[in-house]
Amino acid sequence: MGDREIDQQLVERAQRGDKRAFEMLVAKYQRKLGRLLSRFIRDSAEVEDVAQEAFIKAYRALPSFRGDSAFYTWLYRIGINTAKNYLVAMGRRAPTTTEFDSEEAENFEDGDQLRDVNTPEAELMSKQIAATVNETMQALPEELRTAITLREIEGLSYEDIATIMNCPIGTVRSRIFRARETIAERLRPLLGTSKDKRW
Amino acid sequence: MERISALMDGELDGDEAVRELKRCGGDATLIEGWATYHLIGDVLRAEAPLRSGFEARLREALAAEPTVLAPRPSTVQRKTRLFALSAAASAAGVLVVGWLAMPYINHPAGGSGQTGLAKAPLSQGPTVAEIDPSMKEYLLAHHESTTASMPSVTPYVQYAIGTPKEGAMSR
Repeated sequence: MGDREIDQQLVERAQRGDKRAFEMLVAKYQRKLGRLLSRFIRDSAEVEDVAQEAFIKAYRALPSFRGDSAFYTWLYRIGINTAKNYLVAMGRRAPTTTEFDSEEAENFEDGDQLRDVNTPEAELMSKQIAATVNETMQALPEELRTAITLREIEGLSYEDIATIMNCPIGTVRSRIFRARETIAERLRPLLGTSKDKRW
Repeated sequence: MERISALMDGELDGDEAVRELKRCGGDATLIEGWATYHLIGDVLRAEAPLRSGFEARLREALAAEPTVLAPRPSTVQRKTRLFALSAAASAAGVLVVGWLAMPYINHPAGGSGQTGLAKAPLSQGPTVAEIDPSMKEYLLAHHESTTASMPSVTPYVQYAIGTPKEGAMSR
Protein backbone atom coordinates (compact mmCIF):
# COMPACT_ATOMS: atom_id res chain seq x y z
CA MET A 1 0.00 0.00 0.00
CA GLY A 2 1.49 3.29 -1.12
CA ASP A 3 1.93 6.49 0.80
CA ARG A 4 -1.21 8.14 -0.55
CA GLU A 5 -3.34 5.08 0.16
CA ILE A 6 -2.03 4.90 3.71
CA ASP A 7 -2.95 8.55 4.23
CA GLN A 8 -6.38 7.88 2.78
CA GLN A 9 -6.86 4.97 5.15
CA LEU A 10 -5.89 7.18 8.08
CA VAL A 11 -8.23 9.92 6.89
CA GLU A 12 -11.11 7.48 6.62
CA ARG A 13 -10.44 6.16 10.08
CA ALA A 14 -10.34 9.72 11.41
CA GLN A 15 -13.60 10.45 9.58
CA ARG A 16 -15.13 7.56 11.47
CA GLY A 17 -14.14 9.16 14.75
CA ASP A 18 -10.66 7.70 15.33
CA LYS A 19 -8.65 10.67 16.59
CA ARG A 20 -5.49 8.59 16.85
CA ALA A 21 -5.53 8.10 13.11
CA PHE A 22 -5.47 11.87 12.69
CA GLU A 23 -2.69 12.10 15.25
CA MET A 24 -0.66 9.73 13.09
CA LEU A 25 -1.11 12.12 10.18
CA VAL A 26 0.03 14.97 12.42
CA ALA A 27 3.11 12.99 13.46
CA LYS A 28 3.88 12.36 9.83
CA TYR A 29 3.41 15.85 8.42
CA GLN A 30 4.06 18.31 11.25
CA ARG A 31 7.69 19.03 10.33
CA LYS A 32 6.95 19.24 6.65
CA LEU A 33 4.14 21.68 7.31
CA GLY A 34 6.30 23.66 9.74
CA ARG A 35 9.04 23.90 7.16
CA LEU A 36 6.55 25.12 4.60
CA LEU A 37 5.08 27.77 6.89
CA SER A 38 8.51 29.01 7.91
CA ARG A 39 8.97 30.32 4.41
CA PHE A 40 6.73 33.26 5.13
CA ILE A 41 6.47 33.35 8.91
CA ARG A 42 9.86 33.95 10.45
CA ASP A 43 9.22 33.43 14.12
CA SER A 44 9.29 29.73 15.03
CA ALA A 45 6.74 30.12 17.82
CA GLU A 46 4.35 31.73 15.34
CA VAL A 47 5.05 28.95 12.86
CA GLU A 48 4.00 26.41 15.43
CA ASP A 49 0.88 28.36 16.35
CA VAL A 50 -0.14 28.54 12.71
CA ALA A 51 0.73 24.88 12.18
CA GLN A 52 -1.43 23.93 15.12
CA GLU A 53 -4.31 26.04 13.84
CA ALA A 54 -3.94 24.50 10.39
CA PHE A 55 -4.11 20.98 11.81
CA ILE A 56 -7.18 21.86 13.85
CA LYS A 57 -8.85 23.38 10.79
CA ALA A 58 -7.98 20.28 8.80
CA TYR A 59 -9.47 18.09 11.49
CA ARG A 60 -12.69 20.10 11.50
CA ALA A 61 -12.83 19.97 7.72
CA LEU A 62 -12.23 16.22 7.50
CA PRO A 63 -15.87 15.44 6.62
CA SER A 64 -15.42 17.45 3.43
CA PHE A 65 -12.25 15.64 2.38
CA ARG A 66 -13.14 13.17 -0.35
CA GLY A 67 -9.67 12.08 -1.43
CA ASP A 68 -9.76 13.91 -4.76
CA SER A 69 -6.27 15.17 -3.97
CA ALA A 70 -3.58 13.72 -1.76
CA PHE A 71 -4.04 14.45 1.91
CA TYR A 72 -0.83 16.45 2.15
CA THR A 73 -1.82 18.64 -0.79
CA TRP A 74 -5.10 19.40 0.94
CA LEU A 75 -3.36 19.98 4.26
CA TYR A 76 -0.83 22.34 2.73
CA ARG A 77 -3.56 24.42 1.13
CA ILE A 78 -5.15 24.76 4.52
CA GLY A 79 -1.76 25.64 6.00
CA ILE A 80 -1.07 28.32 3.42
CA ASN A 81 -4.53 29.85 3.82
CA THR A 82 -4.15 29.80 7.59
CA ALA A 83 -0.78 31.52 7.30
CA LYS A 84 -2.19 34.16 4.93
CA ASN A 85 -5.07 34.89 7.29
CA TYR A 86 -2.66 35.06 10.19
CA LEU A 87 -0.38 37.53 8.43
CA VAL A 88 -3.31 39.71 7.37
CA ALA A 89 -4.62 39.68 10.92
CA MET A 90 -1.20 40.72 12.15
CA GLY A 91 -1.10 43.58 9.63
CA ARG A 92 1.67 41.97 7.63
CA ARG A 93 1.84 41.30 3.94
CA ALA A 94 0.43 37.92 3.01
CA PRO A 95 2.07 35.98 0.18
CA THR A 96 0.19 35.90 -3.11
CA THR A 97 -0.94 32.70 -4.71
CA THR A 98 1.75 32.96 -7.35
CA GLU A 99 4.39 33.37 -4.68
CA PHE A 100 3.48 30.13 -3.11
CA ASP A 101 1.16 27.51 -4.43
CA SER A 102 0.54 24.03 -3.17
CA GLU A 103 2.52 22.44 -5.97
CA GLU A 104 5.57 24.36 -4.91
CA ALA A 105 4.83 23.39 -1.34
CA GLU A 106 4.98 19.72 -2.20
CA ASN A 107 8.34 20.09 -3.89
CA PHE A 108 9.81 22.44 -1.32
CA GLU A 109 13.00 20.87 0.01
CA ASP A 110 14.87 23.64 1.81
CA GLY A 111 15.08 22.71 5.47
CA ASP A 112 17.48 25.40 6.65
CA GLN A 113 15.14 28.30 7.16
CA LEU A 114 13.27 26.97 10.15
CA ARG A 115 16.50 26.23 11.95
CA ASP A 116 17.73 29.76 11.32
CA VAL A 117 14.78 31.39 13.04
CA ASN A 118 14.39 28.96 15.93
CA THR A 119 14.49 30.26 19.46
CA PRO A 120 17.55 29.19 21.48
CA GLU A 121 15.51 26.53 23.23
CA ALA A 122 14.07 25.17 20.05
CA GLU A 123 17.39 25.38 18.30
CA LEU A 124 19.05 23.45 21.08
CA MET A 125 16.40 20.80 20.91
CA SER A 126 16.73 20.53 17.16
CA LYS A 127 20.49 20.29 17.42
CA GLN A 128 20.33 17.65 20.10
CA ILE A 129 17.93 15.55 18.10
CA ALA A 130 19.94 15.96 14.92
CA ALA A 131 23.19 15.19 16.74
CA THR A 132 21.75 12.08 18.34
CA VAL A 133 20.39 10.82 15.06
CA ASN A 134 23.66 11.48 13.24
CA GLU A 135 25.86 10.02 15.95
CA THR A 136 23.76 6.89 16.14
CA MET A 137 23.79 6.62 12.37
CA GLN A 138 27.58 6.69 12.36
CA ALA A 139 27.69 4.00 15.01
CA LEU A 140 25.37 1.67 13.13
CA PRO A 141 26.75 -1.41 11.45
CA GLU A 142 27.40 -0.61 7.84
CA GLU A 143 24.63 -2.79 6.42
CA LEU A 144 22.04 -1.07 8.63
CA ARG A 145 23.37 2.40 7.83
CA THR A 146 23.36 1.70 4.12
CA ALA A 147 19.85 0.27 4.18
CA ILE A 148 18.28 3.19 6.05
CA THR A 149 20.21 5.75 4.00
CA LEU A 150 18.99 4.25 0.74
CA ARG A 151 15.45 4.27 2.08
CA GLU A 152 15.19 7.59 3.89
CA ILE A 153 17.51 9.78 1.87
CA GLU A 154 17.44 8.19 -1.55
CA GLY A 155 13.81 7.12 -1.27
CA LEU A 156 14.39 3.69 -2.81
CA SER A 157 11.96 0.81 -2.50
CA TYR A 158 12.87 -2.33 -0.60
CA GLU A 159 13.15 -4.16 -3.89
CA ASP A 160 15.68 -1.68 -5.25
CA ILE A 161 17.64 -1.73 -1.99
CA ALA A 162 17.67 -5.52 -2.07
CA THR A 163 19.13 -5.42 -5.56
CA ILE A 164 21.78 -2.90 -4.58
CA MET A 165 22.71 -4.70 -1.38
CA ASN A 166 22.41 -8.11 -2.99
CA CYS A 167 20.20 -9.56 -0.28
CA PRO A 168 16.57 -10.69 0.09
CA ILE A 169 13.81 -8.09 0.53
CA GLY A 170 13.05 -9.53 3.96
CA THR A 171 16.60 -8.76 5.02
CA VAL A 172 16.23 -5.17 3.83
CA ARG A 173 13.04 -4.79 5.80
CA SER A 174 14.72 -6.17 8.91
CA ARG A 175 17.82 -3.98 8.52
CA ILE A 176 15.81 -0.80 8.08
CA PHE A 177 13.70 -1.63 11.10
CA ARG A 178 16.76 -2.40 13.24
CA ALA A 179 18.40 0.84 12.19
CA ARG A 180 15.30 2.84 13.07
CA GLU A 181 14.83 1.09 16.35
CA THR A 182 18.46 1.63 17.35
CA ILE A 183 18.17 5.37 16.68
CA ALA A 184 14.76 5.55 18.34
CA GLU A 185 16.16 3.99 21.49
CA ARG A 186 18.74 6.76 21.69
CA LEU A 187 16.15 9.45 20.98
CA ARG A 188 13.50 8.41 23.48
CA PRO A 189 15.18 9.76 26.62
CA LEU A 190 15.85 13.01 24.81
CA LEU A 191 12.30 13.33 23.58
CA GLY A 192 10.85 12.33 26.91
CA THR A 193 8.83 9.84 24.97
CA SER A 194 7.37 7.80 27.65
CA LYS A 195 4.28 6.35 26.10
CA ASP A 196 1.98 8.87 27.75
CA LYS A 197 3.88 11.87 26.42
CA ARG A 198 4.33 11.12 22.78
CA TRP A 199 2.22 9.71 20.02
CA MET B 1 7.05 -2.77 15.38
CA GLU B 2 8.83 -4.05 12.28
CA ARG B 3 5.52 -4.01 10.45
CA ILE B 4 5.07 -0.33 11.39
CA SER B 5 8.48 0.33 9.87
CA ALA B 6 7.45 -1.45 6.67
CA LEU B 7 4.03 0.23 6.70
CA MET B 8 5.45 3.75 6.68
CA ASP B 9 7.69 2.73 3.78
CA GLY B 10 4.65 1.61 1.81
CA GLU B 11 5.94 -1.97 1.80
CA LEU B 12 2.94 -3.76 3.28
CA ASP B 13 0.26 -5.28 1.07
CA GLY B 14 -3.20 -3.75 1.17
CA ASP B 15 -4.83 -6.12 3.66
CA GLU B 16 -1.77 -6.28 5.88
CA ALA B 17 -1.50 -2.50 5.88
CA VAL B 18 -5.15 -2.11 6.82
CA ARG B 19 -4.72 -4.60 9.64
CA GLU B 20 -1.65 -2.78 10.91
CA LEU B 21 -3.38 0.59 10.82
CA LYS B 22 -6.23 -0.93 12.77
CA ARG B 23 -3.79 -2.24 15.36
CA CYS B 24 -2.33 1.25 15.75
CA GLY B 25 -5.69 2.54 16.87
CA GLY B 26 -5.49 0.50 20.03
CA ASP B 27 -1.79 0.50 20.77
CA ALA B 28 0.01 3.66 21.91
CA THR B 29 3.39 1.96 21.52
CA LEU B 30 2.82 1.47 17.82
CA ILE B 31 1.81 5.11 17.37
CA GLU B 32 4.86 6.22 19.32
CA GLY B 33 7.01 4.09 17.02
CA TRP B 34 5.29 5.56 13.97
CA ALA B 35 5.94 9.09 15.24
CA THR B 36 9.57 8.46 16.21
CA TYR B 37 10.40 6.71 12.94
CA HIS B 38 8.93 9.62 11.01
CA LEU B 39 10.98 12.02 13.11
CA ILE B 40 14.15 10.05 12.32
CA GLY B 41 13.40 10.13 8.61
CA ASP B 42 12.71 13.86 8.69
CA VAL B 43 15.94 14.57 10.59
CA LEU B 44 17.92 12.48 8.12
CA ARG B 45 16.42 14.58 5.35
CA ALA B 46 17.42 17.72 7.27
CA GLU B 47 13.88 18.68 8.25
CA ALA B 48 14.06 20.41 11.60
CA PRO B 49 11.77 19.14 14.35
CA LEU B 50 9.29 21.54 15.85
CA ARG B 51 9.79 22.61 19.43
CA SER B 52 9.27 20.09 22.15
CA GLY B 53 5.73 20.21 23.40
CA PHE B 54 4.18 20.92 20.01
CA GLU B 55 2.63 17.50 19.79
CA ALA B 56 1.37 17.61 23.34
CA ARG B 57 -0.24 21.00 22.81
CA LEU B 58 -1.84 19.91 19.58
CA ARG B 59 -3.04 16.68 21.13
CA GLU B 60 -4.72 18.68 23.89
CA ALA B 61 -6.33 20.97 21.36
CA LEU B 62 -7.55 17.98 19.36
CA ALA B 63 -8.93 16.36 22.48
CA ALA B 64 -11.04 19.46 23.02
CA GLU B 65 -12.46 19.18 19.52
CA PRO B 66 -15.74 17.33 19.02
CA THR B 67 -15.07 13.99 17.39
CA VAL B 68 -15.46 14.10 13.65
CA LEU B 69 -18.02 11.69 12.27
CA ALA B 70 -18.29 12.01 8.53
CA PRO B 71 -21.28 10.21 7.03
CA ARG B 72 -20.19 7.33 4.84
CA PRO B 73 -22.09 6.37 1.76
CA SER B 74 -23.97 3.18 2.67
CA THR B 75 -23.69 -0.02 0.66
CA VAL B 76 -27.26 0.47 -0.56
CA GLN B 77 -26.44 3.96 -1.75
CA ARG B 78 -23.35 2.70 -3.52
CA LYS B 79 -25.33 -0.08 -5.22
CA THR B 80 -28.04 2.37 -6.20
CA ARG B 81 -25.47 4.73 -7.65
CA LEU B 82 -23.83 1.87 -9.53
CA PHE B 83 -27.19 0.74 -10.90
CA ALA B 84 -28.10 4.29 -11.92
CA LEU B 85 -24.79 4.69 -13.72
CA SER B 86 -25.25 1.36 -15.52
CA ALA B 87 -28.78 2.29 -16.53
CA ALA B 88 -27.66 5.69 -17.75
CA ALA B 89 -24.87 4.10 -19.77
CA SER B 90 -27.30 1.61 -21.33
CA ALA B 91 -29.81 4.35 -22.17
CA ALA B 92 -27.07 6.45 -23.70
CA GLY B 93 -25.98 3.48 -25.81
CA VAL B 94 -29.52 2.89 -27.07
CA LEU B 95 -29.89 6.58 -27.90
CA VAL B 96 -26.67 6.65 -29.86
CA VAL B 97 -27.57 3.51 -31.82
CA GLY B 98 -31.06 4.90 -32.46
CA TRP B 99 -29.72 8.22 -33.63
CA LEU B 100 -27.26 6.53 -35.96
CA ALA B 101 -29.98 4.24 -37.34
CA MET B 102 -32.55 7.03 -37.82
CA PRO B 103 -31.85 7.65 -41.55
CA TYR B 104 -32.24 3.95 -42.30
CA ILE B 105 -35.47 3.68 -40.34
CA ASN B 106 -37.07 6.68 -42.10
CA HIS B 107 -35.94 5.60 -45.61
CA PRO B 108 -35.72 1.81 -45.58
CA ALA B 109 -35.70 1.51 -49.37
CA GLY B 110 -33.20 4.23 -49.98
CA GLY B 111 -30.21 2.90 -48.13
CA SER B 112 -27.38 5.14 -47.24
CA GLY B 113 -27.76 7.18 -50.44
CA GLN B 114 -31.34 8.27 -49.69
CA THR B 115 -30.57 11.23 -47.53
CA GLY B 116 -32.34 14.54 -47.64
CA LEU B 117 -29.61 16.02 -49.79
CA ALA B 118 -29.98 13.25 -52.37
CA LYS B 119 -33.75 13.46 -52.45
CA ALA B 120 -34.05 17.16 -53.11
CA PRO B 121 -33.22 17.19 -56.84
CA LEU B 122 -35.33 14.11 -57.45
CA SER B 123 -38.46 15.68 -56.03
CA GLN B 124 -38.01 18.71 -58.22
CA GLY B 125 -37.92 16.76 -61.50
CA PRO B 126 -40.90 15.82 -63.72
CA THR B 127 -43.19 13.10 -62.33
CA VAL B 128 -44.21 9.85 -63.98
CA ALA B 129 -47.67 11.31 -64.45
CA GLU B 130 -46.16 13.93 -66.78
CA ILE B 131 -44.45 11.35 -68.97
CA ASP B 132 -46.01 10.79 -72.34
CA PRO B 133 -47.53 7.25 -72.42
CA SER B 134 -45.81 6.58 -75.71
CA MET B 135 -42.53 7.47 -74.08
CA LYS B 136 -43.28 4.87 -71.41
CA GLU B 137 -43.68 2.23 -74.03
CA TYR B 138 -40.50 3.36 -75.66
CA LEU B 139 -38.63 3.15 -72.42
CA LEU B 140 -39.94 -0.33 -71.70
CA ALA B 141 -39.04 -1.49 -75.14
CA HIS B 142 -35.65 0.10 -74.85
CA HIS B 143 -35.19 -1.50 -71.49
CA GLU B 144 -35.96 -4.95 -72.82
CA SER B 145 -33.50 -4.50 -75.65
CA THR B 146 -30.72 -3.27 -73.41
CA THR B 147 -31.19 -5.48 -70.36
CA ALA B 148 -28.88 -8.10 -71.70
CA SER B 149 -26.03 -5.66 -72.33
CA MET B 150 -26.60 -3.41 -69.30
CA PRO B 151 -28.14 -5.50 -66.52
CA SER B 152 -27.11 -3.06 -63.83
CA VAL B 153 -29.41 -0.39 -65.31
CA THR B 154 -32.55 -2.52 -65.04
CA PRO B 155 -33.62 -1.57 -61.55
CA TYR B 156 -33.28 2.14 -62.30
CA VAL B 157 -35.38 1.94 -65.43
CA GLN B 158 -38.07 -0.04 -63.64
CA TYR B 159 -37.96 2.41 -60.83
CA ALA B 160 -38.32 5.42 -63.11
CA ILE B 161 -41.12 4.01 -65.10
CA GLY B 162 -43.07 2.15 -62.49
CA THR B 163 -42.95 4.61 -59.66
CA PRO B 164 -45.47 7.43 -60.10
CA LYS B 165 -43.57 9.97 -58.05
CA GLU B 166 -40.22 9.60 -59.73
CA GLY B 167 -39.41 11.27 -63.00
CA ALA B 168 -35.71 11.78 -63.07
CA MET B 169 -35.23 9.42 -66.00
CA SER B 170 -38.23 10.66 -67.94
CA ARG B 171 -36.21 12.06 -70.73
